[in-house]
Amino acid sequence: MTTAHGQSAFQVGDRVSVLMGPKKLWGVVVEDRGPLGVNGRRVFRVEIPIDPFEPMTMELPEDEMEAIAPDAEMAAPIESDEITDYLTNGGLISILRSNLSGGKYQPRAWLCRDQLGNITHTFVPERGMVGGQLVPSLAMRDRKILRPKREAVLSFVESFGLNSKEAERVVSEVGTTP
Amino acid sequence: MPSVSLHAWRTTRLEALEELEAAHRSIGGTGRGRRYATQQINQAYAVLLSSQFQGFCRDLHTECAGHFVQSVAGGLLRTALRNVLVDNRKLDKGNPNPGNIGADYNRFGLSFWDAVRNLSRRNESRHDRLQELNDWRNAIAHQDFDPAALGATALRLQRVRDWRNTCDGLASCFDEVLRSHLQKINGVSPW
Repeated sequence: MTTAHGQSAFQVGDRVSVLMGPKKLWGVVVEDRGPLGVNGRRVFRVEIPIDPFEPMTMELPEDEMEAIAPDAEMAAPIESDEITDYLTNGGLISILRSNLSGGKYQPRAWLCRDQLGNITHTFVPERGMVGGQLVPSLAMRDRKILRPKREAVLSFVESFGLNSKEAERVVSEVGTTP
Repeated sequence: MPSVSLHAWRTTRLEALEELEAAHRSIGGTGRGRRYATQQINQAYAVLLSSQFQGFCRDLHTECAGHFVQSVAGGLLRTALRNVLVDNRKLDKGNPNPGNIGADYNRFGLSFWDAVRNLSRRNESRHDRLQELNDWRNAIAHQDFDPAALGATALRLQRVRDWRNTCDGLASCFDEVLRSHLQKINGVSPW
């Protein structure tokens, strides 16, 4: 992946795939470390998203990375039954837990696909596929939705593209507490 | 032949430091204004020296990680080991003080500062002067000069030049200690 002038074809901001065992993970080049690899191979720092957590950062020589075309489709669209399944099985509570303080800087949450193609949530707009609303604050306790916040949570759940019936089902399956 | 990192230290990184030497020389006059201006340049020089030395140490660490994993067969194992070596390095975020440098380089399976001191007796005092440089770097960055800790509140050019010589000497020794260590592991000299 090196040009005739010794400059790499990778630039900071490029999307790349990295082979990790049998699986390819995707990431973004965040730093060109220069020709520090064995035999002068160029080394790059690559950030690999592992939403909803902090990304993993790796240093890789250029021959262990593959470019992903900028217009490449990164993930299949998310279906509504996948959304309800994720939210009822711990996803909604995990999202609500991110805003237990309220205040000036409150998180927004999106749903996206993780490196294995499963649904997860993210707080990074660039990686979000659906959603983007502010996470209702102080809306959960003991893994249940606080009853006074039920309407706010319903509206939040609908923002992921679910209809009111589907949103009701998610909220009732998660359960409420006074 | 030196490592790519040491070559860069001796060329581009030292050239950047020369710019501050030139800036210092270009300030004329003998009054208090000159003393104030040169003090600011000396402080900038110390901070830049510390950051360039941090860059060198970080580069050399990356370079060594690539060579260290050469003897490991299997792509996944190699990638995983390289991650362990470079993940959350203190040098990615912290000052290049002796503690941070030692913690990161010890990951290669050696007692780094012992090996550096073993290479030359001069490295004992270089170790202490490197700590001094980083104490000053912190004092400058936070504008918090404690004469009891720093020994002075004004920074003289000669002192920064001494630190520069210290970093230069350490850079060569780091390069040699790691070259020798990697050669023992892989059976060939990495550079």
